[in-house]
Amino acid sequence: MKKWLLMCLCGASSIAQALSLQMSAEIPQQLTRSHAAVPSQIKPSQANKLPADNLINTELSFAELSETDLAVATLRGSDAGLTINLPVSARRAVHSVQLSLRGTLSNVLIAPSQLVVTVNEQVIGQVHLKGDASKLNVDMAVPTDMLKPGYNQVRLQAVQHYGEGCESPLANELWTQLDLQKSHFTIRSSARSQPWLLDNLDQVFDKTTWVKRPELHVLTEQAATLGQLQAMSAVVQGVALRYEYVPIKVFAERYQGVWPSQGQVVLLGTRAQLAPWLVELNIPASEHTVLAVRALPGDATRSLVLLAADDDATLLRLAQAFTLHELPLPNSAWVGLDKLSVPKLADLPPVLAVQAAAQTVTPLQSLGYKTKTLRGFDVAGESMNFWTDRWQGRVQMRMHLAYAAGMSPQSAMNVLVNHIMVGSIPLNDDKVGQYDDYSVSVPSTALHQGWNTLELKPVLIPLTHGGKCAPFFLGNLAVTVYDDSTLERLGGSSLNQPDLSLFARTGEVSVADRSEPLTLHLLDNDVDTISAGLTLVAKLTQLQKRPLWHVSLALGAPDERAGAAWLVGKKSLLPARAQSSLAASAHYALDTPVASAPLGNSWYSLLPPAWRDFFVVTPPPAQHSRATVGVSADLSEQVFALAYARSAGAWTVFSAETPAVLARGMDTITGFGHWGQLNGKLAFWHPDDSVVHTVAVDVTPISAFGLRGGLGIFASQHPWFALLAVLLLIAVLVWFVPRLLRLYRVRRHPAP
Amino acid sequence: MQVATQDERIGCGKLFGLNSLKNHVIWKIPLPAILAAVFLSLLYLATLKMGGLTESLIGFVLVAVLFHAYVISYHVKNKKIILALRLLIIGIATFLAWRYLYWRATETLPMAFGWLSAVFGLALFLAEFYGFVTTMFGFFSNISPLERKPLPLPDNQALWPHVDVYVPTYNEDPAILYPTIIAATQIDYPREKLHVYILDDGGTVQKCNDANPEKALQAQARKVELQALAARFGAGYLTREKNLHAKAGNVNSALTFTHGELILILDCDHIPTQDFLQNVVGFFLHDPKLFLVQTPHNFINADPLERNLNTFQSSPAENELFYDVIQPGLDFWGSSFFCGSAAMLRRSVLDEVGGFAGQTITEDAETTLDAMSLGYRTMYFNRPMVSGLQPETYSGFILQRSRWGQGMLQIFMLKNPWRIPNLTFVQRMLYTNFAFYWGFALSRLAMLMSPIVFLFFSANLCDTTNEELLVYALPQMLAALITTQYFYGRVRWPFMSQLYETAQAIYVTWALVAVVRKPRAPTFKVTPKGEDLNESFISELAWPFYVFLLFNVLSIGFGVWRYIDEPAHRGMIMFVEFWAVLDALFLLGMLGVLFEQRQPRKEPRVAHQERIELHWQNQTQTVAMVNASMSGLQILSPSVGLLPAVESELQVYFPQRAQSCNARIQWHWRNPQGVHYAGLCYQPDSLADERLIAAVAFGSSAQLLCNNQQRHQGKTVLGSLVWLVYTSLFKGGAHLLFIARRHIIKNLVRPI
Repeated sequence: MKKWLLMCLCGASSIAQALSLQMSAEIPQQLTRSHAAVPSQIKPSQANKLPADNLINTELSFAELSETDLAVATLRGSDAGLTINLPVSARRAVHSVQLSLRGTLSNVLIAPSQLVVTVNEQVIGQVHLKGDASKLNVDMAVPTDMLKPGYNQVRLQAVQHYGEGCESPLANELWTQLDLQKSHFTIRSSARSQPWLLDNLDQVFDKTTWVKRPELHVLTEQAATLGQLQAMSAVVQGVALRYEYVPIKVFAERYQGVWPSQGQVVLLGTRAQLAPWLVELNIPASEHTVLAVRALPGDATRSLVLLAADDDATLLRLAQAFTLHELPLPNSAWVGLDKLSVPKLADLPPVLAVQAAAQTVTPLQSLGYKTKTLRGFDVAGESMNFWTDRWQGRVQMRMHLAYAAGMSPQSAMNVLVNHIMVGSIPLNDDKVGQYDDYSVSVPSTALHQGWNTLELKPVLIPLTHGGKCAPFFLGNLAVTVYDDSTLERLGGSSLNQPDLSLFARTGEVSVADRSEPLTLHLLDNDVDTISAGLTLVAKLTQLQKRPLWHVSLALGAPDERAGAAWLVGKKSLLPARAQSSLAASAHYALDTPVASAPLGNSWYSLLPPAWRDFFVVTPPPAQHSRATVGVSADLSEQVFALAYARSAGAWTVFSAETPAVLARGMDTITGFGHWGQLNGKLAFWHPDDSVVHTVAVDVTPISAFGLRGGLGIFASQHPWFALLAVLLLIAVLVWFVPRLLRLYRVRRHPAP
Repeated sequence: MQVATQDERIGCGKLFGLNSLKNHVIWKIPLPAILAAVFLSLLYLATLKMGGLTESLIGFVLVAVLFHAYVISYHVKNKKIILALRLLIIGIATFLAWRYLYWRATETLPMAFGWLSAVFGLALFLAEFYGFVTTMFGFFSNISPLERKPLPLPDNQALWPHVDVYVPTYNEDPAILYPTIIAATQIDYPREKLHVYILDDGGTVQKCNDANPEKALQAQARKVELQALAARFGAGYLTREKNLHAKAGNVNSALTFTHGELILILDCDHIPTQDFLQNVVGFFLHDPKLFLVQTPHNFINADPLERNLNTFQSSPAENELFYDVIQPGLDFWGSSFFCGSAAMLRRSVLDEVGGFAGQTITEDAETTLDAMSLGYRTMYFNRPMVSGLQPETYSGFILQRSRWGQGMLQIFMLKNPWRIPNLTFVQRMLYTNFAFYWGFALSRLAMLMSPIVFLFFSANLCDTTNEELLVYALPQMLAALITTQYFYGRVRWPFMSQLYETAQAIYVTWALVAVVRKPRAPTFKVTPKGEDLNESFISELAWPFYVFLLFNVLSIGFGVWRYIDEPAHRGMIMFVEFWAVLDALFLLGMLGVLFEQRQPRKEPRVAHQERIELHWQNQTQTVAMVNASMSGLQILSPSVGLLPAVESELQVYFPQRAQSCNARIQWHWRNPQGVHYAGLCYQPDSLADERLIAAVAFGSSAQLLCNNQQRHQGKTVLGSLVWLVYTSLFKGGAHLLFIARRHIIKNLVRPI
């Protein structure tokens, strides 16, 4: 059989280039055979007929599609718009799409006002915006022939007027508010009958799916061995990367003759075990390591991905090859694998967010930002997150901007950190038009330990407001923010306590462990535990945007000397120290002081009380005493995530009383809206609840910042003590140095 | 020695008076270790980030304590309290300086803003780092300055050693040697044990047979003149075949002809006082391991700064900072060194080290290092006992300072103190500092360049905020001003050091670069003395200062424009503008220095208070002597009518000496306050008269001490700033007017 080095294939990703992968297939024959095999796959006897109830209606709200918590979007000014991306799966035939717009109109809008709806830049409808109607309640059909597989740009462009003569285009009265929850698309669609081929695995694990939490069932013929578990983990990574950002729910199960009723299915085993499902693909008997895809028996709308190998090691290699989601696979139903080598961890491209945490000077590029031109009058601005793990210290930004000429002096780029304005960059110098390194200093008081939000909000105002028939032109309102703008952390003491919020973005709880190999410990072989662990793997793969090659998988609890690890399993199986840490943290969380307000932050807070009363006319803020609430609660239905600091490497623990609760809890936490709530040292939540409770870093003890940071915090809270300490040390020197000098003099100067 | 060892072993148990617990191990920790730990803790505290409020509190309270300690130090006589206050000041200043430097190093280096900012920002930081290191060396060496008192000689003069007095000369006018030889031959010491020699390197066989007949004749004539001078006053005359190894070779040659146990080295213009040997020889009799006793160089003429800025009568001499403050401090640490003249050395040690070293052009310091490595000690006796001349023109001044700088750098490069055996750690460290000190030239250049670069090119040299400047930089600057005034205010006006550094920065840097390129290349160049300045002129070395001043003034103007144009950076621009204006004042002051004022040739005068009697025509009048020189004296009389007319002959009688000399009245003058002065010109008739004249003018070290102390009044920072502004504007302005008059106006008038 010919060997074919797929590395020569054009278009392989940078990750794929780091791999050496050989697959075997008699390509010309295979192609022919695959084409020949396609019709056979959709024969009713093999693929079964499409179910009669195949035609379904799906309703997608604007809020779901824009993944926002906002309830409304307001279109302001004479010319404003909103863009929604409508996903359409290639495997679904769309029969009709109904767009329903719900909202409220400004009551001053007059007849020429209209809302233009475009799909992929073609106008599909125009709606008059008349203020006397007050409510926007429009339904319109979207021509399905304008929709293409993938994401379709649906834009709502409002042109708004309040007068027939001269009017101010920026008048506050010009607005239309869209209700994002109630505005929606109603899609009537059916599954397409298409062959399942390896070169369109992205359609199998389709990120344009309308399902909120796609299910993935990873099956084995027998109870999974450790080797098979590792292969299952790699398969989950491959699937997660193909779904890109859509959170998936993983079920690790044993195949017992019945296929799961929904979701996509992956079956692992030896060639012999999988023979019943491979036989139809005409795979030569000499091929023992095979990746194949076919329709799920009994349901042609769903696929069955098969990974067959004779031993666990080969199976793992095959599964690792499957993780290369950007690697082009042949246009056939199966492919054989011959050779695969995985790069070392150090050779892998860094995960962006972790890099941001580790470097002193960080270009905005590393925060996921790409050079962008922000245009228009009511531009939303850009938002990104950066990590600071330091006590005190500040952040210095150097902004690289270019802006259009002819804006009014009020035009500015406002810089906000954690929603606090820290700088405003004027955009009114018509001679310059560009800043190479405009400096914005972010004081330590504006920063949090952990993730901080950086917002760049331009306020772009034309030279005239256009009223009284003055010339008015919005087209030249633009500012470009380059991604080589930098963010520099200066000074401060480093936090040495792991933090779940870092984990939520990078998969690692501590910056210190970021380049260390990790082990995922499944504490038992229960299917719920395995499912929970693999669901976590899927989430973390999507976070890191690459396969987790540096993560190995182990069954059972680690010993106390083990390095950095993720632990998933029921509480009773956790190592003793992890259990006690979890118990202590849980108690701490339920016993947290609820009110402790210092005496204000003014200079007079430094004065002794007697002096303060004498000098300060304004009464100081009231002091609050600390209150402690002890809660007696049943924690058996709670799921915990714990970041546990250890000298050998941090542990991240996901645990619950039972595997079943843990699996449910893992499904909950990896979903939209929950994962981002992970924060601090401990998080706990009920599987059916949308709220995640956390013990944040803000309430961690001083010791979390090391000796330097801890002393610094103490000194900042007790300035007079700090001063006293300095004076005391100087006094000790003043007292004892003369004695030392006298000793020296006696020894060195015998002469009088 | 035994006592000291025991004390050291006691550790802190005894210090706390807890002898009952003396067996506890904690009390056996050596005191130096404890103090080192306390000191390091203090430095550690200084590096903590405590928040703006705490750090401001600590900074400004410490400055307040520092100021009070400084004020109190003026009113305290108790030595223990004086030492405690000094240590308190050192402790606080060190804390603030280290805190500032740590902050500068960790938070403000502008490494991310382009190469210009990085290069000049780093240069500025290194300049500040240099300042910190020299400050620390200064604190360390001044921690406990020694005040030595002369040790009496034994009553039996037979036990007194023979002393050779060497007066090396090369090309100086014999008139300069005249008073030196007279004074040297009448030093208060047994005649048979005092041997004075002129070591004439201008009269060597090589010089007298110079290929240039004119030079050969001049050398021969000068040799005859010096031989006559020596014979007349009972001194010896020594010369040699060839001029090898400059001054070191000259002295080494003399060592083979003379046999005194002690050698007193006097530059040919250093006129010794009569009590020189009485004050110094006793130290050698007491300490057999003593190699050297160095005494201050006391100058009776003005250097170019003093002369051209007219500060000679009021400001302390520049070298007093070294001889009155630093050398006593070095003496405590056993590190005072030979400065080429006004020092007595033990011949046996010179023989042991092979005579004066000649590897570098500062043979004096080099020889000291050789002797120290053999275990011999040096000593500094702080009493002015010579009256010398210093270079009077800027070019002569630069020649001298370049030689010193090059020599010290040569020592560090060719005889690295860290590689010479048997030196103590402190000696190695302080000898390193002697070379490091000359880094001031580069540091000053960086300080001059920085505001120009910032204001012209908007280069970010210190990446900080106004608030941080207030918190870290302001307390440090205030502390630096206070400590400088405390340690050096008596002998150096504020801002005078900056003027001297500015004067030397460019040319000394050039000289140091030459040493770095070729360490052995520099040759010994004799400092010009007694220069004749018949008319005012601009120094030929002035042009680099024009360039600096031009750029400085332009940058100030540019800074004003930036201040108006860049509201966002006003705080920083204003700070740098102030700095640039200060630099402009230094540069203008330098122009004043470079405008060499006409100075008719006259004998240098020494202030002298002594009651004398004038006898003429049977009349006697008692008057007060104001000053004296080798040619005459100035008197103060109650009334002009009590003195004879101008050109009258009279006899001056010195009651305290019971000697008299003829003189002639040259002038009378009454100042606006009505005080009457008169000038008398000596009319010596005999050798005894000449000896009396020398003894009156230069014979008393008590008088020299008194003269110096009268210039130790100090000046406040504000007073000095006012003086700087006034002097820079007027003297620098005079320089520019002079150029305008000579060049511009001349060129305009000529065509007409």
